[in-house]
Amino acid sequence: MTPILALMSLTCAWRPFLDPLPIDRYWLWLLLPMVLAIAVVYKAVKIPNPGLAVMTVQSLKLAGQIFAVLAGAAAVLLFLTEIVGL
Amino acid sequence: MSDLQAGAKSSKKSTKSAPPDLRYLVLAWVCPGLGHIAMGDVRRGLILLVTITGLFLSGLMIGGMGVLDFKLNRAWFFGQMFNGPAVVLAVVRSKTMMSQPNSQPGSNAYLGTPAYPNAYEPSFGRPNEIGILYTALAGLLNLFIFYDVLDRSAQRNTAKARKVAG
Repeated sequence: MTPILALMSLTCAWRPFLDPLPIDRYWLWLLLPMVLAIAVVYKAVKIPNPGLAVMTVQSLKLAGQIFAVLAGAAAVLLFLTEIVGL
Repeated sequence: MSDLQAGAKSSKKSTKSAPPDLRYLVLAWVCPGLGHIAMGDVRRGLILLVTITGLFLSGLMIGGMGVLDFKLNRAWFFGQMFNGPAVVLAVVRSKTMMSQPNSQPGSNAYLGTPAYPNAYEPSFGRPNEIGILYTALAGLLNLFIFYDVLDRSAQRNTAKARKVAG
């Protein structure tokens, strides 16, 4: 079966909102939209006049900061559990 | 009472903040961002509506209807319930989409294994975790919006009261 046919059979069988998506292999990437949503909501509330340009720059900056902290926390936990062996 | 004391008292009274309008809170619960839109802050309301509803629908799409479960995931549902549609969908799921709604939570009959098919497919593992996380986070972000809508409504009412008082 060609990849297109395989994809078609998968999408035809899948019922949105009723069947879960097979995301087991790339679930970690789904943290990115989640972090971006947190940043957009926070900045939409905090910025006095939320224009498109200001919102985009400020939200991306905050999302980057949140992601950097998450990555740092993950690195510390990886070090503690895998290298130190706590 | 001297004039000075009376003046100080009246200025204190005029700076007292007015209570917020709770109708905006209800609107924000029914649909995230609707409270801001009703208040006249359309741009902010639309950004919140698209972001929070998008996050909620993404979670529902990833994990399916099974992520909105007030019996099985009680603690997560505490976060999800700040989104009005989540509560409605959870009730619809338990009342109309389950073959055995009164079975023990977590049992095969409750989860909807092939012997007891529900109208939706149960999710397990990562899809279930990410779906629950997205929908609960959408609810908690809406809780943040509740505080903002109440604060803005109180500020608006205070400004209106000051204008009337002159």
